[in-house]
Amino acid sequence: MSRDLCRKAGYTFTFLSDAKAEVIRRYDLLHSGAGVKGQDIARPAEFLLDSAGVIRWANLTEDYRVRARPDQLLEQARELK
Amino acid sequence: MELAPVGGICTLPCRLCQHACTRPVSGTRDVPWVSFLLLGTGLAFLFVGLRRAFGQPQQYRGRIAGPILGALSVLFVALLCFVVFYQTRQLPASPGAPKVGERAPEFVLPDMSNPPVSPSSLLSTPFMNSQMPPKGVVLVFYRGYW
Repeated sequence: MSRDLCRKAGYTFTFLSDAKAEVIRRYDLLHSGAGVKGQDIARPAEFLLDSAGVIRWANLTEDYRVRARPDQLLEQARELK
Repeated sequence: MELAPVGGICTLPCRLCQHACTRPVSGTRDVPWVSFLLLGTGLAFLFVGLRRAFGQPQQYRGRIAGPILGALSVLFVALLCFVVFYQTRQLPASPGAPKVGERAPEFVLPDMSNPPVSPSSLLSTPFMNSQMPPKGVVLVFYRGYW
């Protein structure tokens, strides 16, 4: 399914699957029961890591309609050394 | 001109527009002002129409359709307000989420075709045509499942 989606949408970035929400839980980003059929789902979140794996910027939005914009991320990424 | 039904009908497609058009106007994501503008216009028509329908019933019709569509319109406006100002903001507190300055917790997850991926593997593997490992990595947790 992910492969079909990426091909259709033209995504070339790494596309990971967290089917059991293990990493979502580890990052404390689980929004339990919020899926359309009551599934557990991730709250939208974006993290920018530097080359040492340290978080330099994070966005846990307060409104799931409003997520980080590409230019916001690019601006932050340009500041990485 | 029977404005009450017109106003009511104006507000009805607004909700549909919202789903059909993917961001036709910039800046409508944070506050969907186009929807509110259309809904407001519809309600204004509705109000004028209802006043005419009940104030000058010998001239204007719409005393049955007007209130029905009026009630529906108010319902739609209320629904939009509920979703925009309340529902989409109901998110967990996430006190344990990694913070700026902390090391991102390590993990290993399957990619579609490549071997399993971790933050450290992404940071050490040259990206696409580049010879150098990347300066950083963006982790996006997408709210979806399939």
